[in-house]
Amino acid sequence: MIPELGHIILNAYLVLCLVGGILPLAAIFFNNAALEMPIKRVTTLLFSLITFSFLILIYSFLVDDFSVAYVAQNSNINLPFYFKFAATWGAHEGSLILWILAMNAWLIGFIFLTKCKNTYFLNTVFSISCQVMFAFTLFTLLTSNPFERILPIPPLNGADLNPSLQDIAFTIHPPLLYFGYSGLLIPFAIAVAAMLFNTDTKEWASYSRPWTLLSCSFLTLGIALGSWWAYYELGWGGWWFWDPVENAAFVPWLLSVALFHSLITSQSKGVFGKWSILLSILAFSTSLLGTFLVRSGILTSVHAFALDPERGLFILGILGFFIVGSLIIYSIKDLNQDHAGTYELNSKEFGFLLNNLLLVILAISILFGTIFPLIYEAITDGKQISVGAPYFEIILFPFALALGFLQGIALYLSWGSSSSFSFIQRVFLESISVFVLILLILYILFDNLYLTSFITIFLACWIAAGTLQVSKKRNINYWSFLKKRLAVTFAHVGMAILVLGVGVVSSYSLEKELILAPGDSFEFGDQIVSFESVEDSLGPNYFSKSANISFKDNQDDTNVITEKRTYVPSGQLTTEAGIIMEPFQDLYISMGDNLEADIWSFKVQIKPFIRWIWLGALLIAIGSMLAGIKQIRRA
Amino acid sequence: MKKLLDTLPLVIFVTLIIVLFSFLSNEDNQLETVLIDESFPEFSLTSLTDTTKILAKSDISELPALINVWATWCIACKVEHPFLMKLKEESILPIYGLNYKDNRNKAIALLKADGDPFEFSIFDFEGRLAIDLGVYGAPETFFIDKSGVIRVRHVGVIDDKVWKEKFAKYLDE
Amino acid sequence: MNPIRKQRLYALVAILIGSLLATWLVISALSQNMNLFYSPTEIKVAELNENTLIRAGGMVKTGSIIKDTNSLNVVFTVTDYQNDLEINYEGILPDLFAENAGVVVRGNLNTDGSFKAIEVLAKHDENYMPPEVAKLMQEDL
Repeated sequence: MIPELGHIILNAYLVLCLVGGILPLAAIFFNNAALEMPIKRVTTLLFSLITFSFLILIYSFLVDDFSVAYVAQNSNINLPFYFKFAATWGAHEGSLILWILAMNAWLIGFIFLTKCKNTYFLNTVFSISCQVMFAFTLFTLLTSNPFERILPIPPLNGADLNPSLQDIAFTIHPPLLYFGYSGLLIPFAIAVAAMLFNTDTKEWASYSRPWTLLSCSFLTLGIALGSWWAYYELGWGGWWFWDPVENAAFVPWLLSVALFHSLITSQSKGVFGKWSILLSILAFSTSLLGTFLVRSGILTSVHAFALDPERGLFILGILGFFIVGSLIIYSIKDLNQDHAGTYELNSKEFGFLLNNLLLVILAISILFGTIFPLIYEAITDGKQISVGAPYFEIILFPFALALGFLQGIALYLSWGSSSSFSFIQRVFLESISVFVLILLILYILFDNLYLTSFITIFLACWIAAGTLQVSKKRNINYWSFLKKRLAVTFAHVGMAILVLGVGVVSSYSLEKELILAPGDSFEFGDQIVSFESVEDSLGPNYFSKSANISFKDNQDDTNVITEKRTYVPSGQLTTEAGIIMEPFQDLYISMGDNLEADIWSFKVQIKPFIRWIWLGALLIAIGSMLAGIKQIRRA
Repeated sequence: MKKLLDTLPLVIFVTLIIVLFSFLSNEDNQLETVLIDESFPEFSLTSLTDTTKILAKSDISELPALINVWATWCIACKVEHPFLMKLKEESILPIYGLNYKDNRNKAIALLKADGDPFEFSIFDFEGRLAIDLGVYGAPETFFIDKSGVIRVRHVGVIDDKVWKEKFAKYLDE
Repeated sequence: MNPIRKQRLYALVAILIGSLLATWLVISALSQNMNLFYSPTEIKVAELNENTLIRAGGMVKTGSIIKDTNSLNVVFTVTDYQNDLEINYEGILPDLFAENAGVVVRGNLNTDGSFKAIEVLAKHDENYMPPEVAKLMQEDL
């Protein structure tokens, strides 16, 4: 009966969300205090309900209750318990519950930590959030109920969790990403409330800023972990594929970055008010749009959930209701958002304007490339195309260049107008010296310099120099100044490290596919790679062939195992890459096909600086997290 | 002019939603209209259990009946298997299997191990009958009425709920 | 000029330049990187230039996979149950690649009518074929 309890709780949650979505608004509209709700308590109650329901689903997985269809389809009796746990959000139904839970968690944070005297405003944000949570819960219950039973005769074993999802990074990657996506609900709800009450720009921007920063931080972590997971789990050493699902996360990330930069201006100077509102709506709607594209199965992707037009229709309905609704308010309401303030071309405001412009146009271009196959199919009546990765690279490069250039000088700009641009010379000299130093290191490490990587590497130096040297324009202690700017330093230096990683890995990588028999060895870069032996091994729910490979250079000799696994219930094959991590490079080998007896094909790669990409992303996430926490404390 | 600019985002988004919507509903129709209310297609394929026996449309003799598309590689088929067994045990209506793009020995072994809910299974290795039926994948289930006309098509797992909502009413007719 | 107006002018010019640049980029990048999808039957009918990069797909024919034991060359046949297309590929095949499974390849045609793949994708989940392949089967009715 426990799954039924979960179902009942979810229904109760639905009803309470509906009440919470209507009553506080009615109280304001009819000016009737009797209709008001104690929103702190209601939010807590809502949160306990959804958490309880989620725990019940986890419980059903842990005890192998295969009478629950969702459990039967996504778990198996032989699955290790931690993967049973993670399987809860391994497919569509469970991940929706997690999503709702995440939205509710953000709402709790907002309601309890925002020091806002205007109860009308708070109640409205609460109500709008409740409406969104109601829509998601209704969607879950009507089209994707995770508690549905297979009765009367449940299967004995359950199918299985998709083998490539049986992985430690996967257990944390989706929750982080869902928290990132759902966090954008708060800025959205605040933007709608701000429109309804015509709230002062400086005021509402200060409520919105911390939550935008925190969602951005979670999105960054989620995307980085996903990229890391794809790198070692899919077995081919790529770290970004421009897959529709990746784009669906990248676009909201770009917009959330644009949004918190715009909110800085709105909060400090009271300008860009309407723009920030529009951007809040846009960021939230692209996060919904991403869900729609993935869950409706209309775009091909490695991550595709089962094809289901009905679900797609429902999500489209939710998307339509909230986005069109808020955009209607935006278009008819006479918003008087901007404070009178003027700025020059050389001002910080204009810097932020350019930053936003570049980020938003980039986001729209990527979104366009992602959905273009759909548009094309609709126009040409069924002709199918795909847009290749080079499209996105061509688009990204000039925008990244311009953004990086701006990032190097951004911290020197002053509000209103900047008096002097003498710093450019200094930043330039410093970045040149760092650049030369890095080239020297690269030359020592890899005996080679590639012209193609110069622009990206210089850009990284430019950003780093511009971020770290910013204090010198004032006569105060360098470290205490840096400490004051800890968050932005983390984030911007993180971006520099990420750019450096991308620049090096895309030019200095080596790869080779070849056939080896046990005992064979060959020279690869500065390494001697030998295929020593291959043996059979057995895991809890798979059997595998594992190859023992050694990498030898003039200093040390390291062994690594790469595996070809066959998962038992599904018979699905997966490749487990063997990776040796060094600070400056990864040695990467993956097993290909078995050609005869013990002869196998392999793909060997050397990936210099690849770890720096994720390190950079981690620093960005830490930076925006710090900034978010600081903003909450200050508010 | 200013108002016009404010409605621009709305217009763009509504257009986008309409495009996506038209795309979705296209997809939907394609799936639903295939062969519904048409008579079951002719075929000539071997029986799963007996390579020498050629089956044809006339062998599906007891009507109304269900045609269930299944395969050993299909995980969801295992999920719906108990439900098909239940239909069989309670003699609600005969079920004919369409073994789809599968390994014959594996398929026979599976039916031996888990139970065989089917009157017989048609072995459709190349997916010929499946193409005529417009099968997307497995599992799929078709309901054929007394006169041999396909009335319902269900893509995905069939269970109690689906049965009640989509199939039961046709059985009563 | 009034400072507020000047400010608006800056913003407007920046937006204009930005969107024009982006539109130009998008159009030029799209025209180079748009890969049309063809079924084996469509390839037979269409007169394709050998150098055009396209995508093709269908089901891998049973018994058609021939792997070279000394190199990474592999030849297999993709079918839409009406026409076949021979695919040449050099490299390691994805884990999900198998007989009777849906597959999408990217590459170009050889002069002899076979297909030289530079990428093989077998992204099906266990129950369903890739949407493009599934749609192909639907159209064949």
